[in-house]
Amino acid sequence: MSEDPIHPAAAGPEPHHPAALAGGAAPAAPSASPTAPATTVIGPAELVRFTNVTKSFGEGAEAKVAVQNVSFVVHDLPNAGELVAIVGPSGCGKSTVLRILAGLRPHFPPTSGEVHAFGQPIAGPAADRGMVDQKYSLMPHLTVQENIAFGLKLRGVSGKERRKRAHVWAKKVGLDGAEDKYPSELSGGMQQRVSIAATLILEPKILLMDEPFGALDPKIRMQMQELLIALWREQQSTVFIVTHSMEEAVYLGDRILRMAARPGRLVEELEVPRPDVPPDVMRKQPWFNELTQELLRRLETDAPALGPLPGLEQWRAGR
Amino acid sequence: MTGFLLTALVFVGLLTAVVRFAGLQVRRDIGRRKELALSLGFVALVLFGWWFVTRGDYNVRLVNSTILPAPLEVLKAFVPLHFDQGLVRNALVSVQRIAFAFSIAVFVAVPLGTCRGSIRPIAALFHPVTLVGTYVPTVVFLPLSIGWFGATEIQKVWFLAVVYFIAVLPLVIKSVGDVPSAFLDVAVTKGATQWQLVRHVLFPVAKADIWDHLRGAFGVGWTWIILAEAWANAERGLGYLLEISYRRTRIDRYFAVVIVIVLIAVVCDQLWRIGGRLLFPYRNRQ
Repeated sequence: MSEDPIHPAAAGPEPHHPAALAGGAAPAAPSASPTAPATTVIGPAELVRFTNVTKSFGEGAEAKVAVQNVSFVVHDLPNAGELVAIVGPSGCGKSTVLRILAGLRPHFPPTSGEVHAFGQPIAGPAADRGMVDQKYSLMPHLTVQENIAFGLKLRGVSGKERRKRAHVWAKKVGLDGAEDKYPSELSGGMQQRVSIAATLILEPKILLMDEPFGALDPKIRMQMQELLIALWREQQSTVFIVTHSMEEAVYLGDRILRMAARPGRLVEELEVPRPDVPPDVMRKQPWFNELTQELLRRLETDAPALGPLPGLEQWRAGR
Repeated sequence: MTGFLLTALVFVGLLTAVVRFAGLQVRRDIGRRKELALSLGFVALVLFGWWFVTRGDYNVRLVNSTILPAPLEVLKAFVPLHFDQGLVRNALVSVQRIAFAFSIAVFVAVPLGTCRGSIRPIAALFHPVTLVGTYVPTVVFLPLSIGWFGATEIQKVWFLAVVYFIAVLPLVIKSVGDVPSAFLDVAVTKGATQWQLVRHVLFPVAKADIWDHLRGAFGVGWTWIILAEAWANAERGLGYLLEISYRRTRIDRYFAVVIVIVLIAVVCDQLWRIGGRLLFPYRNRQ
């Protein structure tokens, strides 16, 4: 492959350093392979990069800052996506970060700073970054099957092919048999199953979820978390999930982005255990409570960056 | 004036007393059968009152027969209306005019309203149309229509179509505008183009709502057809029958025609309702 000579050069510099973006990669491209597409040039290992992203609404003294100087990098791990949970108090701009990443107005474009996905500046919404909302994700006039296949229809896939692929996905999320029902006939949990299937059928590299299970009762919520993990393993996409629930963040996340309010900002990135076991099993682990309690304490006090969460050592020792 | 205030006061007092002593509760279901019985009871009461004030010979009635005919007289008026004045034919003419004018109005207003509800520059461009529609009294179009087209078939359909258009357009715009933008967010993250957003999201999500508005607007058309037909020296149509009955002081026939109009309107409304159930099955499955 022609990409091989570029690869070490682009990935060589410390990827967390912003300079790697412009300095390390750009000059290497033309000399090594003129035919290589631009996407492979700027750090192929970088999936998402926020660089000093600030978003404010309004102007002058009236301006309301939604998020300020948010910077983070999520890497494209080979054969495995990451699960990034975004937590923070109300008004800290969790959803703003997610919507900027999705390219959705009015949050996108940011007032200042740069946002890259797949090494390219984000220009707007696209199917490579699928979104699942808390509600309103489903078209009320379409059946479950038609909703699952909606994105395929937008792409001009034929009706027969759509039905076939929608059926496969209905099975995956446990909705075979309910395919001819309308969203209004489904429970909240089933509606979210349809939403997830309708997004994942397009095989997005990045899945964005804004409090997807916030309206569900605890038992259904755990089932959905388990389903999400199963699908995530199969799809190997990277998931960003905004949540109010510390348990959900600790369970689902590989990594937690903790934000604080007034002004909305990213405080720290925290490593948490991978969801290798079902949620009810992880919840019974001795370190689980310690982790969630500490996270909640930091959240409620808007604490500055305090470093790794306690309990991680126990988790590592137990593996 | 005092009389009116007194009546209003007594009415409110009676209503309060009924609610209080019958122990009625807000939004408490009473069952279909009871609801139907109460509605029928009211109709019976009105009919009884009507019969009571118009009973007896012409010169001993409580209400003069030139103001209010007896129920039986109205019923009998259907015979000459049907055999001599072609009631069915005239009704069909009116229905035809309404259907034609309504189709034209919908054909223009629904696509235009959908565009206006979706795309801001188009909304701004056509904003004056809505302003005119809101503040110009629709009646002014009637003499205008006669001036332009004469008392012709085109004139009546044109007038009705304009009235319908003005009524329907803002409702379509509102329905499309009320679609939550979260639907759009989800669609664009699935790769929808701008045209697809209108074609596959905004219009389909709003269409059931638009249907309900059309149903309401359609009924209002009956008010205007009568005006158009009575004012513009029509030779056919229910408005013409009304006008002629009034001029000949056949008040019994006048009432009979009114009953026909109400019946047709009710039947049409039911057809709209059934049509809605068939077209939007997802609405009645909860």
